[in-house]
Amino acid sequence: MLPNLNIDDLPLPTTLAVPLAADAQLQVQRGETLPAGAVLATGSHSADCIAPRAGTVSDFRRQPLANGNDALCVILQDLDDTPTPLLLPPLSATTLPQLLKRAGIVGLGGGAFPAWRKWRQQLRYFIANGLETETAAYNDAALIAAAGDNLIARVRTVAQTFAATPLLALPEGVTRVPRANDDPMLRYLPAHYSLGNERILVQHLCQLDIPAMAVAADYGVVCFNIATVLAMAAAIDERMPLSDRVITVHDVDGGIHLLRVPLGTLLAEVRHYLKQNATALIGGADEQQIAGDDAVITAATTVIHWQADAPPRAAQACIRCGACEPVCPAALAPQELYWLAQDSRLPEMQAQRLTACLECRRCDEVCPSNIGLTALFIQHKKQLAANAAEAQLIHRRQQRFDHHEQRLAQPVARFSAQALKQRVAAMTKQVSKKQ
Amino acid sequence: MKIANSTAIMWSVAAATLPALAAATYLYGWGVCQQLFITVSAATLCELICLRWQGKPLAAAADGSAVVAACILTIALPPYVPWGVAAAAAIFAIGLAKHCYGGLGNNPFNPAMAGYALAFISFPEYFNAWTADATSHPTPLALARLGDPLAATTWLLALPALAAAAGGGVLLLLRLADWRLPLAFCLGAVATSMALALDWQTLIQGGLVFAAFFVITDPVTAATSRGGRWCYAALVGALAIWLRQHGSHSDSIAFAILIGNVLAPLCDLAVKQWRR
Repeated sequence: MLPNLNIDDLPLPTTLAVPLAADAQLQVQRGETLPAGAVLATGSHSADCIAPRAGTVSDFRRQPLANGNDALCVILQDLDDTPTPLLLPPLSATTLPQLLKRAGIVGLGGGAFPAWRKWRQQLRYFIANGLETETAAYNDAALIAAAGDNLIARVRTVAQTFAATPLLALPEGVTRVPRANDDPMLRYLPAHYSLGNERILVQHLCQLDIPAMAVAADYGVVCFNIATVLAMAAAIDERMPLSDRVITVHDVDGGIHLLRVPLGTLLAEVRHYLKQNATALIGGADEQQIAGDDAVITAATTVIHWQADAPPRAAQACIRCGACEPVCPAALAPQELYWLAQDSRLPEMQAQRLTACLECRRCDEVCPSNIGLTALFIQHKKQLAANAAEAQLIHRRQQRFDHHEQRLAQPVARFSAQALKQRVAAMTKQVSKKQ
Repeated sequence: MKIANSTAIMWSVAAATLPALAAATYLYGWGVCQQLFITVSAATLCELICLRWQGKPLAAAADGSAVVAACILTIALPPYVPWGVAAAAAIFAIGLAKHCYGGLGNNPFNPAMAGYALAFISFPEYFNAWTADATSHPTPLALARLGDPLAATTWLLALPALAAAAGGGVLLLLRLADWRLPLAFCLGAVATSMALALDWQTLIQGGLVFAAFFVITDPVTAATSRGGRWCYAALVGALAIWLRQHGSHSDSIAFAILIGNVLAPLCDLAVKQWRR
């Protein structure tokens, strides 16, 4: 069952707050008036932060982001809707990463990974992922419906620039691409969230196992969400930067809206537009964050739920029914992890591969006792990561201290003619031996 | 897809014991219903007191787990034990076997079986009185063991087993219980009775079939992995037959299950190690 997939455009907001990446260096000054697509900040690892709309830089300040955390944002006001194509050198295989970086393209599936960093010289497959990466998201389905006949051509364009064989993964039975059902790039897969995950998708489509912490691109497979692919196609064909994204909004009455919003839109604008008066929860069902009106919608924001303030159903005791085990796409034993989590037995949880949890929530869905397993796992994964970081810090400090001690313990080297003579003799011997 | 919530599962299991309770009432009279009333009230009261004591919400008592334990206990107990014995068994089950270990989900032993075993050991004199008319004569199972041909020929013997299988079958069809457990239990029991060259009729006597559908399927005290469950249930099935033949009591399923409960985590572990 799909909702109405027509995408509405949010009216031009009064203010945009464009978050800067951690490594970005600011390129603009207060009071400067910029065209749409102007570079606000640039960094060595991130995609460029660009102005989604033409406007004036009024301020720099920290704003909370819809997906948690906060970031320094460039505040744009006096906005103007006229699009401006980017001025860029002609496209070639080697300038593609530059183009993607300059166009500010990041993954729109929820990860916001800079697209240019997935580019490699030799790629085998280019996967366009049309499976939703979040529960309760309809962004991909809406974009696929909107792209219609052009979808295949656009995916092919981008795949050609990446010099890889295109594969387009679509959910079974839900979306049909008109007139192109037999295109060789099409792969229909069962629609469940865990297939939105890159590793599992690559496993299904290419029969290739990517290690848990590795990047698929290093194995010759590059994988993008369909929204990202369409953004790249716009950048390649029309030189348009990434300035908007589509989000799924669930309103209080259970209605579903698909909205195209400029990146950096404040949550208040969406609330105002849809006349919502409740608590906003951001993200798929897995790790929802409560966000205030001043929260910024970024490229990573996929779903917004406006929820009437009803208490969630209380969790009951685990009855060890084991329903969570067969549904786990990562072949974990959520039930055992749950019991280990009760006593915070982190080493055992790690031994049970807690870090392989995709946070897909399928265990939560089947749990008859309504236990929030995923939330529990996320909490412990964070704890594990924090512990590992601390252990590394301690190790480094110890190393530094040991080196320092060693240095102090070494006698100060003195020049000795005797020793030098001996070394020269040894070296000449070696050389003559070789000859 | 979610099949049911825990509360619904518990109440369905309680409802599924009704055919077996009805069969017992038909065979042994209204005493079974009185006993059901006593065990359910004692178990619920004990549950409420324990929850209150531990500062847990009293609403948790509505999950039905105490009622399930009471229903199982009623079937397991002889029909005309004094009301005090039945109440004691229910209090043992809920207070000691369940809440002393931390309540629902934390108990290593099946509460009903632990309650039964405790009552059995504490009041052994009442546990051979499977009578319909309060004049003392041994249970059909004890008769069969003594070689009474009359006891072995009556079709009434099969009635409790059929009733339990009817209720249990519905549970399996609704997927409220894991089908592996009863199947493995039966395989274990059949294999052992073949190895011991027992009469096939002993398989449908006593509480064996009831245990196969309602006791062994308790997820809390069973093994949790699929392989572990096969191993656990087959082990309990084999033990039940072996103890019945060589143990000191005529029906030792409760003890077989308690031993199995202890070994359940080991079953999980053993299967995991073996796969590696």
